[in-house]
Amino acid sequence: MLFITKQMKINRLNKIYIVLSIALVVATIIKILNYKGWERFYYFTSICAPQNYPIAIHDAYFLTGEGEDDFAWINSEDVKNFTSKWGEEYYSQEARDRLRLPTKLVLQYASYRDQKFYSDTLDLPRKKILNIFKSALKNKTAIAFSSGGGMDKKGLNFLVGIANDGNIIVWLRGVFLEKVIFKGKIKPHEPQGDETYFEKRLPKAVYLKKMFEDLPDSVKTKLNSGFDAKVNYIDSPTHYIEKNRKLWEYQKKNKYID
Amino acid sequence: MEENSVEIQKKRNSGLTVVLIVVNVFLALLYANVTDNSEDQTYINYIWLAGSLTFLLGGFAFTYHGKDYRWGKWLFALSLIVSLGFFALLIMATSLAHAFHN
Repeated sequence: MLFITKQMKINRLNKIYIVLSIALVVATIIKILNYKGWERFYYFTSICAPQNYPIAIHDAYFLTGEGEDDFAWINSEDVKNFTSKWGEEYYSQEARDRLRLPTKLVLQYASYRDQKFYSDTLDLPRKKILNIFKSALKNKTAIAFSSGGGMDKKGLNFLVGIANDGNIIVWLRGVFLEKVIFKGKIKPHEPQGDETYFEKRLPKAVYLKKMFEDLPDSVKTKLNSGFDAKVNYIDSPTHYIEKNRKLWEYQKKNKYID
Repeated sequence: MEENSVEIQKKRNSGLTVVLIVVNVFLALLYANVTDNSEDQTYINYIWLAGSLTFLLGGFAFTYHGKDYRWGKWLFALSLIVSLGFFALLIMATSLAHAFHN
């Protein structure tokens, strides 16, 4: 560049283009820094609850940063259909884009058996989650999410377990990998504001009736009679690794997974 | 002599402009691709490429006049047509998606 300036007078167009180049470089750097690609991973999250402790989720998502758009969606299909079993994730897991890792878990739900409302924002251990992701990718214990492009999307599954009495657990799972990253308890409280919102704000009893109207009557009768009442689900093991061992060994043998 | 040096300056500047056009198009594409690609990224890339190239060639075409620089005007016209084509396609695709949505 120096030899050009010595011998020539740079015209206005070239000056504009040089400024444009600098602006593009700066914009690219800002974009990279804002995106924080090194903190992003593929993951999928679902919720499970014990079969005998049905719940109605009002809100469930991860916060992944400070911005308004920084959240990650959580699948609660099984719980909604009352087909969820303790320790079992949603069967169809997909991960579209790499996301920043969750820092907080926002939960708002009502429980059928005690007819109580639970709502809280829980802090998740950031460092621990990051380390598990890094070591899973390094040690080939990550899950390969299916994708149309043939490109491998490797990541992990979060599973949020909502047990009885407001007990919450969060697992992080891969291949031959299951780690508890959070265990806590939410206290029940009287619902406020939109917590009983379904098409409009409803009285507590009406909301609960509406939420659980699809729960089969036979199940309701069973639960109301006190079936399986004093079980402490939060401490019951999931047997996730034992259940999947045969499948993974088969997949590894046939090179479906690394 | 005076005229000759003006002509030389013009030649050098136009050469530099060509280099800067290439650099800026490269940087524009880099900007569009530094974060993770979604499925429509190839499509977006073509629009970035056509848009930035047309814009930059426009500067060239309106700055350097004369017989030796006519190719710049031709290139600009060509890229303008291609860009407008892309633009029309884009509008068609979005209105189609909109209609589909409705």
